[in-house]
Amino acid sequence: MLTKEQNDRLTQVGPGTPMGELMRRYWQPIAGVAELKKNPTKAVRLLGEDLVLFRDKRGQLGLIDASCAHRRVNLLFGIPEENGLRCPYHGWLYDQTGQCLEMPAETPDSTFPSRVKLQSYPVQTLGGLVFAYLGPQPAPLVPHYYPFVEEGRVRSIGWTVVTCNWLQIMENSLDPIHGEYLHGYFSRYVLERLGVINDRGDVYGKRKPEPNPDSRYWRGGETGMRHISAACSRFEYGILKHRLLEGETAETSKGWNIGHPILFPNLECGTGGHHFQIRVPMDDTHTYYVYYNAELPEEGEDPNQAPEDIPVYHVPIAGVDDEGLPIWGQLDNNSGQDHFAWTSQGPRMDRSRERLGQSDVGLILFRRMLMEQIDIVEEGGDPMNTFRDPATNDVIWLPFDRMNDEVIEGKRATPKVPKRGRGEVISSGSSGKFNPYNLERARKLGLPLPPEFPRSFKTVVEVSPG
Amino acid sequence: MNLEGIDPGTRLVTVSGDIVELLEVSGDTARVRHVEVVTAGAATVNSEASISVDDIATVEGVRFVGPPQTSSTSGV
Repeated sequence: MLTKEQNDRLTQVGPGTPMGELMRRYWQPIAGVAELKKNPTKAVRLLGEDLVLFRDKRGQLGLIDASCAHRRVNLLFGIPEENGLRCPYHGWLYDQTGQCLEMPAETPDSTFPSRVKLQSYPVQTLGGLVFAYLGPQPAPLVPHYYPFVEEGRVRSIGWTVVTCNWLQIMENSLDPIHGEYLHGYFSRYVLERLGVINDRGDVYGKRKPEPNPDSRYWRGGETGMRHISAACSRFEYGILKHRLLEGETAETSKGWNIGHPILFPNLECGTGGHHFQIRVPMDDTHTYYVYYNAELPEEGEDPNQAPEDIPVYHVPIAGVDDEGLPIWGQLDNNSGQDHFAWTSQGPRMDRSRERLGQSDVGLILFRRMLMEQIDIVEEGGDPMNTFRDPATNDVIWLPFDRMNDEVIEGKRATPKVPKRGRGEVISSGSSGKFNPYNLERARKLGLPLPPEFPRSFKTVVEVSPG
Repeated sequence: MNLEGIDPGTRLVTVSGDIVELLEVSGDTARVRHVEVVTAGAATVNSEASISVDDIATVEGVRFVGPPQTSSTSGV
């Protein structure tokens, strides 16, 4: 349980707030490079600020205030020029630094443009993502976590907007036990309601050894974990989440001894080790969610993708229908189950009304770490995972319990090519259902494709009376 | 948290994230001394308080260990 003041301290992300200032010390992903190839402008809401990301005709990226300094027209509708973005209303032109270069309706000798500058922020690209930095200069390096830079991988980028505060999502990652209930017991209930339980088997209480190859849901081996114990520990880059499951021993369990990394402050490594889930605070009640995948290529797939060719796909968010009832077809997978859990806690959860137990040690450790790192920033220091020395940022490897590859002393050794068969197409939670690579793999395997879902639904909070 | 068998002097973590030193246990109540305070409440370092055992999450350590055996897998 937190006091209201503590809850505000950890969840408010606007300019000048303690958490907002901490988050501004990190490069945050805001788009896929490929998006700018298709549409040269993109509206970006980041840490409470409304901005526009644009690519000019020379291919340079800029991130500036969303509103023109003149009459506040939104520059999402701006026209990319050789050296910047032009407002569609009266033609004011801005460069990447937000400096106004031209005001077509003023006199040719006017010096007015030199005195007009929009707020701008630096952007960098890595691994097909565009990252923005809203903090003080000098900016640190964009971390080279291995999925972003490892060679020989096919990459894809999923995204969605979750209508709740970022911390609810991160706390889900620090909570091993929810995997047993939300993704096991509840999952089984959903499959029963959908009438497909026999397609997937009993997912609670036992691991299904072989996925049903003809399952129309593509995944047969849903989590059947049951926890003996759970724990969390600090490591160099964040927190390791440890699980000891039924049938395992503390001496030999990788999940217990190595653990599953959560990178401070807002990144989770997904199952398999080559999938990142990044939770970017847009404002206090919205989170830009990135599913970053870097997989070994299958036959016919080229890992030498240009950044602008790394596909970007949208993941529908699970919600409720017009009558306020769950849409069960969206809840047969981990992502959909997580979506509804996060949003149903409220736009910004009131932690003064929660009751934590002994199994919530991960949340407690994470909150302590957040408070500690906020204090470091307030005292003028660099928080953890601020990289400034290129020598330590060549490739950052991480320990991982469920990686397909060998992990030795925290470093990944020779990669092993995972054998994929029918029914093992999806590896990035079930958000992978919408990944174009997975869809193509499913087509080749003759698996039925997932149903089309609208882009978004209302959350249960939005339709609840009062 | 069940504090049975935990010695006085042991450092514990509360559900709010404070570090406390166990002084004594009486029923469902633990007498503790605050060692590190992250909560914005009335507690200060070195102050003593009586708190519910339910408000204690784990023993302080490099690893924050949860329940030693969950009900889910205890067979009970």
